[in-house]
Amino acid sequence: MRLTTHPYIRFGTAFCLLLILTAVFTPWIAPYPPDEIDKRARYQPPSREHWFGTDEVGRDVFSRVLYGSQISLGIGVSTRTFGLVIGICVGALSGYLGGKVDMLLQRVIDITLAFPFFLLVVAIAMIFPQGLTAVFFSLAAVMWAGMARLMRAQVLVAKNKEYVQAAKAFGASTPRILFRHILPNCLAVALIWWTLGLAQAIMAEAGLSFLGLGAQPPAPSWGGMINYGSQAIRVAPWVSLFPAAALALTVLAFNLLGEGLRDCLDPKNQHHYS
Amino acid sequence: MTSYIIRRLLLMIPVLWGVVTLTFFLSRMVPGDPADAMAGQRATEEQRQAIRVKYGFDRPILVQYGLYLVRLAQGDLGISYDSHRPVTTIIAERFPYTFKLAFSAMVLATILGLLTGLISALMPNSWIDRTAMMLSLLGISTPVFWLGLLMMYFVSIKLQWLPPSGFGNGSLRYLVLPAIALGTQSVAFLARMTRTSMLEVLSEDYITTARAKGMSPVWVIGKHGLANAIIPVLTIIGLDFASYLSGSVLTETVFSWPGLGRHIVTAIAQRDYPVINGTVLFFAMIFILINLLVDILYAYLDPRIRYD
Repeated sequence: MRLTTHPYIRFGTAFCLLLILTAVFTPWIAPYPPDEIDKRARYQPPSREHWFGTDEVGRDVFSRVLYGSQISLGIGVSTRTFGLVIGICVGALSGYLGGKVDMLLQRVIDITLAFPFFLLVVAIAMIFPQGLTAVFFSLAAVMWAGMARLMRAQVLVAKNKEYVQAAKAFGASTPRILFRHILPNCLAVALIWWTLGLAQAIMAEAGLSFLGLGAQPPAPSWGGMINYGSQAIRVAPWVSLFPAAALALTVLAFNLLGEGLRDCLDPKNQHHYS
Repeated sequence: MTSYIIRRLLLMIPVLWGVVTLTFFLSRMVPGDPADAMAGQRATEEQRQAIRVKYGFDRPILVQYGLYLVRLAQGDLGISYDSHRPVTTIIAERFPYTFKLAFSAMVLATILGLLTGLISALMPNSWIDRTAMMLSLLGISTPVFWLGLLMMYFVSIKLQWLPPSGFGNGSLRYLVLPAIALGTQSVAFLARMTRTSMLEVLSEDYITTARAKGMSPVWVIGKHGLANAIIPVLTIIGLDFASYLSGSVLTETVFSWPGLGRHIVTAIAQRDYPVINGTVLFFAMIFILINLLVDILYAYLDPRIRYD
């Protein structure tokens, strides 16, 4: 199926664009500042003034959900891109150089991937002061490994292709072969990996903030809002259910986009994108 | 086969050593003095010093690492800062709850996932198939909070059919919602895997041959189709079970389920490092061991696979 007609890609792209626009223009769209407290308006149900109701100190849940998109997207895109760059470098070096370097890097990757994903993220987040820095570094420290493994496999295949052999025969340098000849052929795989994992990164950020290890209150992160809101789910379900719905929709949109890209760019589904 | 298993077991040693080492150094990099945390706020400097000497915190880090390895080899994961009980005892108490939840979620996911995938594969591109696959994509994308909170609100609070959280007296009623919340992603994933795998097998020549011989369709699908299609699906079941056993942290927290996953969250809030460290290590070991078992089972079930 073609990129432009695939239903998943169409729907995913539309929603992701909407999300990015929301995140960028939040300060102009949001009806209230995210931390404006109004003690007289605690736990107001959804109404015309407060579309998603208000929380335990009278803040507008709709505005906070909008501001939350900045945190989710920011963390998702930054950790994923960081992981992509590190993963590509490590994987390319490991695959191209081979030998002892490869052996050593492979063991590091094995150990990183031997941990259950979220647990390792939590364990690493502990060594930083709580906040978004902890989220960024813990996710980045774990996520590069999958890309490195994928990249290494790609390089190992490409290394013996004729066009690489030809470039070598012409005396091209190692960096030139890697960046000019091998990497461009791995872009599709990298793009699928980046998109599919974005949902995972966003969910992990929400998970960390839900556990109190991520963004600290009063920051409007979806995970934090779900955490505080769920304690009052009997009296004010809207405080937790709306941010949770925003998270679910976002994750769905990126999964749709990633799956669509995989269908189109890697139709035989030859790689394991994790 | 035997040499494959031995080789895999040997390969596990450096990975396990790496996991142990990484957990140790991570736990030593956390800010704050562990002796302060153990002694409590009112302790005198002498008491703190006594603890430092007792647990070796005053020794060089490499010596501490060595002592840690020795204690680990004796099955000693340290003492909780908070409850002052051995970490191994805590794990032994809490893990059965995690196992119960993980096992129920997996049983549920296996039954529903296989059935859905099978039905979809037998009617490819029908409206049933399309709906099932769309639903399964929704299922894969559902964060456990969202589904958990939705069910908690509608099923427990509004309809009052099931208790919203906790373990209660241990009756099955408490298990239903957390098991569904945890298992949904697997249902969705298994359904897709079963469908793909089944469709692939059904297009093989031996299926056409079996049909041409005049075998009954049920027999063809059951004996020749499912028996072959199920192998990759079994791997997914094993891997999902491993990841559920190694910390359904979020599900247990949402539903206040008294398992090890929720306990690690409490330990994080209290900065109870021996418990965090011991639990992370325990979970990683389980994860690695089950992954290994799955690989071995895979090689055993599918003789076409040669691990050289």
